[in-house]
Amino acid sequence: MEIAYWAEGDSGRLPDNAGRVYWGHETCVERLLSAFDVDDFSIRLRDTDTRLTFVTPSLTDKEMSQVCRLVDTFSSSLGCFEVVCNDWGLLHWLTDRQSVEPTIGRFLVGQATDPRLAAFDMPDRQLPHERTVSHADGTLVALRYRRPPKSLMTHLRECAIDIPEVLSFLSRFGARRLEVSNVLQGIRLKLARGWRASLHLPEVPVAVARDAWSDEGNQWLHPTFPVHLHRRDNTVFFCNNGKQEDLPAQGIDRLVYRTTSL
Amino acid sequence: MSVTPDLRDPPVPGGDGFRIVAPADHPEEVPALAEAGADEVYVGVLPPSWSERYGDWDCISRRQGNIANLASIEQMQHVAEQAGAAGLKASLALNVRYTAGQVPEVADLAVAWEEAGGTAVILSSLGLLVRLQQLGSRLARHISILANVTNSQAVAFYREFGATRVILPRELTVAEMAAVASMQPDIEFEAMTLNEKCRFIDGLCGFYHGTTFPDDAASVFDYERSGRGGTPVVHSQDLCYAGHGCQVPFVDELGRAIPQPPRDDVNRPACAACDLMPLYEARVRLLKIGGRGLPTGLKLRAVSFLRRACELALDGSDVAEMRDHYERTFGRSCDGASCYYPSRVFAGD
Repeated sequence: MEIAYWAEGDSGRLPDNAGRVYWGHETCVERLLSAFDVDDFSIRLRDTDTRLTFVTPSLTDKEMSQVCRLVDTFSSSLGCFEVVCNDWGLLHWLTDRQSVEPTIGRFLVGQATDPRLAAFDMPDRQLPHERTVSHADGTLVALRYRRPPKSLMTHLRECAIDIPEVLSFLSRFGARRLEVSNVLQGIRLKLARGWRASLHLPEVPVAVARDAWSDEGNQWLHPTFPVHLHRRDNTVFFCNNGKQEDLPAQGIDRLVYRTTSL
Repeated sequence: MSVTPDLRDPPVPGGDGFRIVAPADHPEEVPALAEAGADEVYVGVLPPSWSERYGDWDCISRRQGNIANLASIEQMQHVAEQAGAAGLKASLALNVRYTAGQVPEVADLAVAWEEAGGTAVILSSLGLLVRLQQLGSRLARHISILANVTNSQAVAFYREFGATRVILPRELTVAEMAAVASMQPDIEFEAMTLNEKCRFIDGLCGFYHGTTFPDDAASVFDYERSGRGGTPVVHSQDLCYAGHGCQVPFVDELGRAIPQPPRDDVNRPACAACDLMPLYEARVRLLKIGGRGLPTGLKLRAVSFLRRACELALDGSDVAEMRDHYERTFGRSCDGASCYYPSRVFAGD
């Protein structure tokens, strides 16, 4: 199992003894473009024999040209490296870039990330199991808990990307890897031959806003959520350090840690 | 000197005038929406076979329950017939990303929709796009706002799956939309112009949409009644559901409320009327009204408002006149927070 770490924040500080670092931003291009000197970062990667996975967010056309320049900069300096695409347009653009190994980002794989979905199958979190509520028209109704069917919980563990025909199509763009989150309800990947996945720990991104919050709290708490949420920049996350089962059998051969998320 | 394009005789080669795309939730609404000025309708469907397997949350069309979804395949077919009779195009929202086991069932819905006369599907699932190609479906493929198509390369990506229209994310500015559209001249572009603005980006939001109780629509739930006429029962897999993620009253670690934007207010809806001409110039000709699940009267009001707004834009009306139209329609003045694409300055606000 390969272990990778996110390079820390805007300084691009490399974790000790990391064979591979993830650097970039999944949700905010401004954070990406305002970062440190990329040339200097490339030299440090080369000097420490550290492999790069460059992480990119969803992009407008203008942002796409800016990010593509960064890709070209890394390309000329590092040779081969990975680019995590969270935008089908970038994947499309990368098709002819021989030195780049595109991977399918967490926002494209179609995982269910709301932690409340895991609580569907947590009867102890659904107490009391029956209560009377009133419609606005005055009609009284008993609202009663029903444990979800197996088909639903199976569905919640799956991704929308690991359909053989879809993976075959994406292979035409050079992709052979995808990134997944450590979602609370568990993971059930069925990758086609030749595909591999990276599992990100512990943060699971739930929702992204166009703009970053300016002065709101870092923690987002509510008793109906089985875990605490937190926000960073323009994204709301939760953390899950729980272990997933049978990682190699699911094609997961890399763990990606973010150690300073809170 | 700026020239106002004539929407009835558009100056762009191959272009069309604006077309209004309105939500429908019942077959009976379709003729009324056409009468009010809609050119197209879109619907969702949540058949019992789906809710038995997956529940009634938003995993078939990003809207929950039968308030915002037709309750049966028969109703869906009836909508297609009504739309055909009224001369409207009709699209079916199968717009979320489906897992391998779901794709065949969803594709069956699309086939039934096509056979009934439906003209398009709204979608973001690569699996469904591939499946429709395999089935030889002739339905037009409208790429959903949930696909988060923010650049022209992404449009090119979806064109490989036969996309004919892209519904642009509501977070883009009109200038960003123009940049996308200018590179893809043979694709239609659609944008949200009324209702349902949210702080989160549709295609990057994982908060699920469930059914909240109490609700004002008693008739749409599948009740179980005891033989003795007791209180009707509704089953749910999430009794804790406190609302969409954008509506939950979160607090921080010190118990202070996290400020959330005001909920979408049907009497002060998010609106892009003042930006109709810039949208037109950006080649966005399809004007989408959000609001699946709203009462019929509110949908009709929205269509009438937007139809008149198109006429005002055509006549070269200024922002003040458009805002006056807004206030006369909704009974409240427009404010900057209601603006869908807030690129203009609201003097005096």
